[in-house]
Amino acid sequence: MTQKDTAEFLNVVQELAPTIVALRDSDVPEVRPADLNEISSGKTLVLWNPAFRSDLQRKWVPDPGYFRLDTLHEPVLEYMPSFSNTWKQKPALGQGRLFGNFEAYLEKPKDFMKWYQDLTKWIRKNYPKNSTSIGGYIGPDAQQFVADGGYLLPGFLPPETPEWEAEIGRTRTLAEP
Amino acid sequence: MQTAFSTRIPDGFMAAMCLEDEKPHRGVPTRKSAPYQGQSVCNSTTALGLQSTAVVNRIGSRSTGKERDTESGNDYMFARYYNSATGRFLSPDWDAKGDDPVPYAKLDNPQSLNLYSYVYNNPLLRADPDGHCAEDACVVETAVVVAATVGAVGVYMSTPSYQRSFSTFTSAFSSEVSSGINTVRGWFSSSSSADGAKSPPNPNGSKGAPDHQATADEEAAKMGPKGQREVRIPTPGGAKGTRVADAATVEADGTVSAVTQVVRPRRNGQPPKREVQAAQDIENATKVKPKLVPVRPLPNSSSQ
Repeated sequence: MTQKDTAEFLNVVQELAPTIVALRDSDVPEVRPADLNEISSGKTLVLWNPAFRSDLQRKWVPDPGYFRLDTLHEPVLEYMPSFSNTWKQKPALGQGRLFGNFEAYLEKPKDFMKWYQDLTKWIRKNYPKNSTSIGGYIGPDAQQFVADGGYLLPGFLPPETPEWEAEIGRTRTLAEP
Repeated sequence: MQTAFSTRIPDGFMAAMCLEDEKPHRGVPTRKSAPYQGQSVCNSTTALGLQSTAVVNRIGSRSTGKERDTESGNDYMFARYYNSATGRFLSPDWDAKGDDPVPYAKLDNPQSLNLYSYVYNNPLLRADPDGHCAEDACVVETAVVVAATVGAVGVYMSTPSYQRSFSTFTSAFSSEVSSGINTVRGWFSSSSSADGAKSPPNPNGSKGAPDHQATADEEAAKMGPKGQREVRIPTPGGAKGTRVADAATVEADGTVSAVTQVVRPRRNGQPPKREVQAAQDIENATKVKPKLVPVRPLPNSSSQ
């Protein structure tokens, strides 16, 4: 997702259910909605639907010393926006992700899982799948990005090895008709 | 180039036979690619753990269709490992913990009280589909499932009388079984798990057991705001196409600066071979050597 795709997706999130987009990590325990600068900063965000937990507090992590939202135990989703970089001297877009923990022992609300499924259903329905081993779904603006010569990367910047060149080169074919 | 083929033929014991155009050495697991299920491990051991001339013709049979761990030689029965040489499970059923030390016990069959035996020591008549209990001995398990299903699908049952009779039946059946189990439970003291027994592999799914997940979460938190859990890493050229790093530091520009894998050490203190291979694949794909961290017990779990 480019930033334009991200903005569109976050609008859809709001349409499905009132949701607070906040930073996962901070210097303060209180959770407040993130502003546009924070959303586009590349930091990890959380999607917090107050229907499942009315109040949230970050927990103190003594080493290295910051407050972090406990996404393992709290009914919130982790949203990592895509990152931009260059790869082989060409613009590249790294994969973002929507991540949640739903194991039975965590005893999260059943509707929390349904909410997550609604979001993923929307993505699957509206975005084409990346058919290479990198996987994931490609937003409309990201498709244009590939058509314009950009590379699609996995969720991290891979080394420029022959194996990766072959794998990432396959994503170029996604832009071809 | 020789082309090998394999197929799966179920028999009375749910055994699968890998028929191949070349004979493997007896007792030596042979890997053949099978298009329907990736790789399969074949060996020439029967469900009884015996080898016979008849078995030679059944090249590659696997006890009840389960895979053999090439590292340990034990059969992976989903809930736990089975050692075909001794005809015993290596650990008691994981249900045999806490409130129910003797799951699937049957009062009319003393063999059912042995937590390590395979299908009540009668593999000629019974088979174990999942490492929990013999096929025809899962009445307790079934009763629980049915009771849960009544709640879940009740809305689809249109006839109230049917609902009543069904729920009366399940309730009566459940209480009868529970009563028997409680009697047996009283014969035993607390947990009967054997020290050092091999634990069932990941009964909680691909993300690992709660202690594994908690450790991975702590490791990701220690990495600071850049720390991510469960980072999917495609590994072109690796033993597997994709690996999942338990925790990784991914900078804002996508650079991976640290990877941590949480491992459950073997009894000899070494990480399992599959974890070492996963770490190698991740290192090849990211050029970052993963740090292997042993799983830590949950903070609220006692050592007793």
